[in-house]
Amino acid sequence: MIPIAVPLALAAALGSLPAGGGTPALPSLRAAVTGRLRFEQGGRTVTVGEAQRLLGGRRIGLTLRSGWEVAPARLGADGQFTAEVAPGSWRIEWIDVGDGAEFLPTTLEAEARDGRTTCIGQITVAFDDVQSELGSSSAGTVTVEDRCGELGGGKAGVSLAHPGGDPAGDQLAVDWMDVAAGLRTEAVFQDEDLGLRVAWSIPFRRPLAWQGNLLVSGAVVRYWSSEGPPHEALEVGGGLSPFNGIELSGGLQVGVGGGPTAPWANLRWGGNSYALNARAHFEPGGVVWSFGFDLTPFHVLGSFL
Amino acid sequence: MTRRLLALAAVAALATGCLPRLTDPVYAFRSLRAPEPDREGQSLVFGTIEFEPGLLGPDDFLEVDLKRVRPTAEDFDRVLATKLLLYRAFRVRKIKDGHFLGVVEPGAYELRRLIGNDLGRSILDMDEDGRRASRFTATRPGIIDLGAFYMKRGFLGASFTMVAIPRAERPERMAVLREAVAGTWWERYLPAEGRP
Repeated sequence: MIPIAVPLALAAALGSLPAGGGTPALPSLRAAVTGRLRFEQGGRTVTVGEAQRLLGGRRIGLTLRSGWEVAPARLGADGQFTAEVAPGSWRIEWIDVGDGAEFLPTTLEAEARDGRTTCIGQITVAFDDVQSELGSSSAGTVTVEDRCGELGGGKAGVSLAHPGGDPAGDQLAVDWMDVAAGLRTEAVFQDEDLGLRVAWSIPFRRPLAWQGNLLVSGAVVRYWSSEGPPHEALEVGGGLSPFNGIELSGGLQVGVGGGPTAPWANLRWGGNSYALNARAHFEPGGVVWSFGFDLTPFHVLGSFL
Repeated sequence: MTRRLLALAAVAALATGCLPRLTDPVYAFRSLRAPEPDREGQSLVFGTIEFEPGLLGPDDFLEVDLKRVRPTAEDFDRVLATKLLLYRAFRVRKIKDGHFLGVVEPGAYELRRLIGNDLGRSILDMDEDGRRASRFTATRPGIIDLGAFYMKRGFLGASFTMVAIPRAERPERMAVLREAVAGTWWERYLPAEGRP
């Protein structure tokens, strides 16, 4: 009784201690994923063992990744694999081939459940010619089938691997630099008048001037007229980029100090640094056209530094 | 008067691309440095490209661009390292003396093009064979050394042939890499001293 009670009490006491702040948590290997890897060539199955022979004995392996962690799987000649991992989401991205790797055209993601073995299905990687292509990242397609009944002996839970997100994330996500680059100054030419337009366009879906972006904008414009005193106007609007380098926008211009209010539409052609603009103002007396050239101060300054 | 000032400002701004940068003297003395990862699972890519000297065309590069071929994505190009970026004085220097450093997510990549340092900033596109020959895979997080390459000039320096330089001929590269990753996340992935 006593020899058992002492270590139990010690374990309970240690378990109740607060976690040390400076000690990194060790990954707990309390889950496992299992499945089968299969190669296909012209509709015919090539097992892992056969593929190894075709490749002159080069070892074929399977590795799962979760963030910075990688976990090698035990892979049999029949393609059946098991990997002991920490619970969570794991990615299957490549197949080790000797010292190289076959990177899959579609990466897979699998969920490892705490305290359980999860069958993630039969993964089939298709090639035109396994011998010449395996290891050169030339595989055609990757498919996952539920063959867990044949694999797990009925004990494993089933959660099939599915296509994972892009490992690079969204490369065209909007960041603060894209917002800063939305501040534009524009020289505007309208008949005999000259104007200076300071606008801020804020992108939503993509960086400015990228295909698929949506934006809202606000602007202040000052015109120097040859026939009267300078006058100002405020603008609000929204727009989109149907193609890279093209922005279509429209909105409303409100004259300051009793000036006219008129809708406008604008075509901007250029990149983030500078662009040409053609704008139509739909005034009661007809359409008034103006043309402009805009510069992005954020880019001008940044190109000097 | 206002019209002239605006026109002058526009011309001056457009000319910025041709002018030296205010921070050139500072930048010249900045050391090559490995960028820290911005996503989990990334790898650091290190390489060296030397140009054959010549009167015409580039004799150095300003940018290295990759194409990701796996996982499949339409037109997934990536700037691996560049000197042509805004506010570079406040950023890590990733190209120096022919060496370059950059980070990539897991995937299979090919070298797509270089941008030369000549006045016209020549774009040196890799041909199909060159791209295939340069293909590498980033799998487990770590440091990938692409090796050293020599850009041999063709007729009048208008084209180049990329030739791999045996690693044994550039042993000093390891010291460059060690210095560039010292104190960064990547230091843990360096092989022990004395090991290749």
